[in-house]
Amino acid sequence: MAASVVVASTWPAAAMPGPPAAPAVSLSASFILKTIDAQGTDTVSGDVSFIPGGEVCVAVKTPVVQEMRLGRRELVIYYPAQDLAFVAHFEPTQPPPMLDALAAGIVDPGSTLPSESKLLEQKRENGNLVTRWRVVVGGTETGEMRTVESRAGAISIELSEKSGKPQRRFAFGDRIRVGTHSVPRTIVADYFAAGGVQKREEQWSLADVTKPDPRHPAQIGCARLRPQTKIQTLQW
Amino acid sequence: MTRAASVRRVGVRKWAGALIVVAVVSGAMIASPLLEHPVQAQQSWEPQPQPQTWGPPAPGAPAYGYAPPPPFDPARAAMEATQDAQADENGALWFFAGCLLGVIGVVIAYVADPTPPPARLMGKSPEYLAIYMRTYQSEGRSAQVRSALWGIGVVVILTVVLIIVIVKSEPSMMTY
Repeated sequence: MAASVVVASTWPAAAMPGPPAAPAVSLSASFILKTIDAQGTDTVSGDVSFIPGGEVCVAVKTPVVQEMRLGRRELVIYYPAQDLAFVAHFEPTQPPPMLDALAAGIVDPGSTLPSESKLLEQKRENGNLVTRWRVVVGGTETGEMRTVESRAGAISIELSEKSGKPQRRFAFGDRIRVGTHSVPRTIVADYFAAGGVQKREEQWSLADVTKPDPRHPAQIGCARLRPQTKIQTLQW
Repeated sequence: MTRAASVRRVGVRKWAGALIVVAVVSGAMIASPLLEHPVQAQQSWEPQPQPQTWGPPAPGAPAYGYAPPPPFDPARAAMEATQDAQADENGALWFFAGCLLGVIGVVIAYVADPTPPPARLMGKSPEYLAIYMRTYQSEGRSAQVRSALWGIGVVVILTVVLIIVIVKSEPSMMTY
């Protein structure tokens, strides 16, 4: 799947040079995101759309109305109330920012890895397929990825350092089929600092997952700027 | 002056030179973090307001476009950015960059802009976002530079120790 190229560029910290191909993912859903970290718990809700061509648009409704467009060369965060936008541009060699947890839940885990990665093991366990990959970037082993998949899609993905300490862990809840995609309704993403200390947890809940009509894609939250919009540049 | 006294004086001078190098490098490593925290200097020590309660709007409240924004707290934005940047920094990577690339590693650490995951910027006010990004990048860069300096420092100290060991292990060259 072409979207996996986008994910791979940020996910296993594998900077893959060159612009990725246009992904075919076309989905929209409403979401609630709870982020738990040392500062406490934040809850954000809104709508998210995967646009064919590689963009992800987010319309945040609470706590602050905000539109976010994540493209392959540009990140735009737009505040309609103030008509103010923060814009970051990326070099072609830079990995574009991505909502990792969502991307990990939608694309095929194996296809997210750099092409040099090696399959270590594949076996059946309790009716699920367990796969281990050695993640290799630029000829250097950076760690390991372990996935557990059912027939419906991935149940969990774990990325660990070479030393075995976890880097990221994604656990997916029950899935629904939308077009050709299997989309999890819930995602729990745990992020770890170097050394394996947990630093953040994201809990995503998706609802109203639909495949937009390709002839009339409702691009909600895609941060369309107007000529008079105030623009501030973000370094990225 | 006897020959033995002269040799002793040369040895003492070498030891003093090596100690000065070690002291300068150690001093720089200790002082550098203190010089790299412009953000902390801007933080207020006044009592902080009550923590924000962010969540879905109250029942009956209109949703999209009308939700009252949470109160903005610049100190909180700076503090969260500092903590996130420190947690996200890959210390081992920049340490080895300093070890292997030396000054070039430090320059790269200074130039490379660390960036937070976009999920962290969702639902934040523009004021929060501006302070968060500025602080995150400033603090992240400081942490990177610090780790790279540690890398250089360790290499310099090891080199000095190695030189001392080599010089000490060849007493014949000093005495004759």
